[in-house]
Amino acid sequence: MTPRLEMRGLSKRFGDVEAVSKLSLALAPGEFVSLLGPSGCGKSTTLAMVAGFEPPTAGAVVVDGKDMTGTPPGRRRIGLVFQDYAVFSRLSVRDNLLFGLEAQRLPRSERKRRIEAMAEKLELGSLMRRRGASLNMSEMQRVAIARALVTEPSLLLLDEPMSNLDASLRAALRGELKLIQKQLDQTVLYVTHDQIEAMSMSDRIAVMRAGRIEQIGTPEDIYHRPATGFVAGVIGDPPINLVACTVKRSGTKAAVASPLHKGVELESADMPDGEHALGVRPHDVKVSRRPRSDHLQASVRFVENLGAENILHLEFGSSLLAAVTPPGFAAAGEDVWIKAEPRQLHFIRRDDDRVVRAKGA
Amino acid sequence: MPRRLAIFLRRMAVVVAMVIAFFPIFWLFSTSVKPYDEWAAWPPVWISDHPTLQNYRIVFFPKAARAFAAKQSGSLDYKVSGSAWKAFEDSAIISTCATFLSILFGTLAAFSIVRFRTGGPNYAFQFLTVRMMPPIAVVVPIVALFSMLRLADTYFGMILAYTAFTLPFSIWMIRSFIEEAPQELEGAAMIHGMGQMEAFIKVTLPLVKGGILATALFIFILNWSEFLFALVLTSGNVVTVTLQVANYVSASSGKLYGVQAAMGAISTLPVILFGYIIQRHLVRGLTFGAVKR
Amino acid sequence: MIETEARDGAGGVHAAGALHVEAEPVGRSGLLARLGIPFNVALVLPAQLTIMVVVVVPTLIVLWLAVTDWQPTQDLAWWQAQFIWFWNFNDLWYDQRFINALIRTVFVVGVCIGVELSLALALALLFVEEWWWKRLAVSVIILPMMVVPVDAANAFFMLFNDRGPINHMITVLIGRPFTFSWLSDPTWAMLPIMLCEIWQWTPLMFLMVLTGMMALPQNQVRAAVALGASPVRIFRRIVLPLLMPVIGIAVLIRSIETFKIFDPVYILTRGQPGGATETISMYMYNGAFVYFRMGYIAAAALIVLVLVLSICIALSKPLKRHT
Repeated sequence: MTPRLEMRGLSKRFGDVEAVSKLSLALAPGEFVSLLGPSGCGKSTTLAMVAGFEPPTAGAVVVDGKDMTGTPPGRRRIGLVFQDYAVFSRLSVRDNLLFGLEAQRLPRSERKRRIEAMAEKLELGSLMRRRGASLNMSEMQRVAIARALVTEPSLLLLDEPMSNLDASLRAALRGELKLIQKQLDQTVLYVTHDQIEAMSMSDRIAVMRAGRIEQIGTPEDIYHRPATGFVAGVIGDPPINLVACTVKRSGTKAAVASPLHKGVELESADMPDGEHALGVRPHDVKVSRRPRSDHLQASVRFVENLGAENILHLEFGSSLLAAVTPPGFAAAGEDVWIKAEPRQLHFIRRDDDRVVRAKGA
Repeated sequence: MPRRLAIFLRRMAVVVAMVIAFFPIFWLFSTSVKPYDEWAAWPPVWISDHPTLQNYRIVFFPKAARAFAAKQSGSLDYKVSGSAWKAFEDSAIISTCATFLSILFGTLAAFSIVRFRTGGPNYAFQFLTVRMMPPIAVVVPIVALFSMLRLADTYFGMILAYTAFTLPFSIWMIRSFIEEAPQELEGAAMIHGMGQMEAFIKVTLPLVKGGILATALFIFILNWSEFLFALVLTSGNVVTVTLQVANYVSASSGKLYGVQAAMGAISTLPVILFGYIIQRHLVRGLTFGAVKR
Repeated sequence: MIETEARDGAGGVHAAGALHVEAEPVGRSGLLARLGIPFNVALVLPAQLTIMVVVVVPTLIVLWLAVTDWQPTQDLAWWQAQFIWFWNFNDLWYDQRFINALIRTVFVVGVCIGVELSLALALALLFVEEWWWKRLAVSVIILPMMVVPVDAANAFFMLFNDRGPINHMITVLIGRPFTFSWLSDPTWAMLPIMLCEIWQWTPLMFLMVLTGMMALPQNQVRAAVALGASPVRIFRRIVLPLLMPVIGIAVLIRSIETFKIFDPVYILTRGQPGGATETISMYMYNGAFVYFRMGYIAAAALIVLVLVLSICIALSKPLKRHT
């Protein structure tokens, strides 16, 4: 099947700086793909190139099999939602929605039908006569999304649309957006720095760093099998624990020694000797209140109480670890015993940041 | 339409606009160096083949003016045989003093209005009404009043009138600059024991210094360019550059184009210069602080 | 940035808070304290007094003069002039020349502002993009604004001379000698005057519109582009409404200034030929300083003052609401 969107070797250079480097990615019809990364990683520039506002220095943007690289944004049949929503402040909400439809020269009956359907989906009924400038943030966001969707674009592009909203609104809107996307079978390219948004809504996530894609995969892939330490650090809340470890090779085997384990064997002996990093997620750290044979002792420095769970900040030898426990599990100053399964460890190479797994993981 | 052609046409349109903008000024300067026989020739002389400084000499040197009068049969207005130095002096004196007073009074008033809300929310608008009325409407009674007060045709009278009519600009412009300066700094200074006025002078004033200077140049331009009051309120004792241009007429030849052009060119140069210096603030000034870059 | 309450897109309301400090009624200066003048009032006094002397008192005098028949040529001081009730106003009502001057001035304002605004918008659209000599272009285009108006008028006098470059260019264009005397023709004399005004002040409108365009929320325009709208549609429905606050201020201020137009009229025609180019300011000047009927002109001045002020007040309320 023809991919809905294909980015082929997209690059963008600003003077000496290469903001995006040979980025290639394909979206299947109906897929929800996020570009996730910190500020400056090039995700917004990539979106701008797909939208047509930034001409690529190299590469092509192909929509439904047609090369759109030279086509102006208005003719690409894309929907665009900006970070600041850019609702037409001097027009009514109805006129905002009508705007793209009038440009497409649709018959009046069709325009009416689409607007009413969209208004119902996004609960805009009571807002139709209000002027753009008089709306609050979340109302503007819904109008912006509706305005983009009502033209039935091949592709919907969103640029960090939730960063202006407070946390509670974001949670609600994540659900709504995902629901609408499924209902309309809309192909979506979503740019964000918030990994919760990426994880919760995407079919696939492309983690970006310095203009390149570090890893593309489903949320499960990214979470459980990060390709690099960077990806491991970006995903997951609380963030992954990092502990020093040493690798010793003997023959075809490589063994790791760390405060958490002695002698775990790595799946490949490809790793150079010496000091590297070991990552283990706070959710993967097993904590026991009583000493156990295969557990190691740690003391609780302080506890973050999040209501549904606690985060214990543990002093473990010379390292600091975070572990997630049920509420009230332990208090500051107490000792606990912790263990991490080898198959849940991520060994991060110091030279190229790649993640290597334990044997059999 | 191919993109390159469209861009070229847009740039050409800009060039046309530039030519139209520049043309009358070009003509003024070009005429100012034309010899007498080229002033009203047909077809007109666009760029003189025999450029001369004669016109400028007539403007500045009475001897040259008299020599010119002797050469052209027909009488020459006595004002022409004088020198334009007086006009430049008078304009300089009046413009500078009026600007100074306008800025001084304006800053004090603007400070009072912004920090103390003196006179209520609409007080500052009263000063705008001064600019709304056609000056000619108040000129008649001003003539009457000034005659009575022996202010007619005096430096002080002119300075007073100019100050009054530029106060709206100075108050509104300086007000907009003061409002832009962060008030917290003054507050912090006052917590440290300074009085309000002292805090203003030592903390805020340095910050708005640039804005006040720009306002001063702006008002100077207005004063220097002013014509109506100069025309009506003076009768020879005080002469401004705007009046002086109109003096270069003769009974036989009518307007002495070359000389007028020379006078015009010289008198407009300071204004052009100052205008470019305060370019960024021109819009703010001419809209009383409503529109800022 | 235009100082208005803007809530486009970003949704924040801009408001200036004020530190409220009450002025001490007893000022630091001993003199003020003894006179009981609050400090803040003392600060506005110099400005206020100047306005009083130069504007307020004369306006009161106008009220008096308007009901007299003061003609300085009669050797009467203005306070000795003859009181003639409201006869001036009666005469003005039937004075065709006065009415014509008013109508003519309104016409001039309408045409000049209309042309200035259209040209300014067109020019500003040319300046939204960047190119290497853009700053130079802006500097040249705003040159007319910075010329002394009297000198500009003189330049236009020379341009529209029957042997001037304008006629020369027309001659070349049509192939026949063209030495039309623009400034002596009752129908056409107004043209050089209006062109002078338009030439001089379009750059100001241009700067204002450009400032407004630079401050436009860029993303709204981009959103309109992404929705597939044509440039005309985007301009008409998105850009223009967003520019309305700036345009409103520009039109208001320029209309007031153009209504007062005097320098070009005086220099170019003095209101001739036969009063064909007499604007209201020129009419009043002629009446007061050529015919010396100052009482009569004071009445005319009063009418004009009332007219201008009431229109300003009527317009300022919707304008304040709109911005």
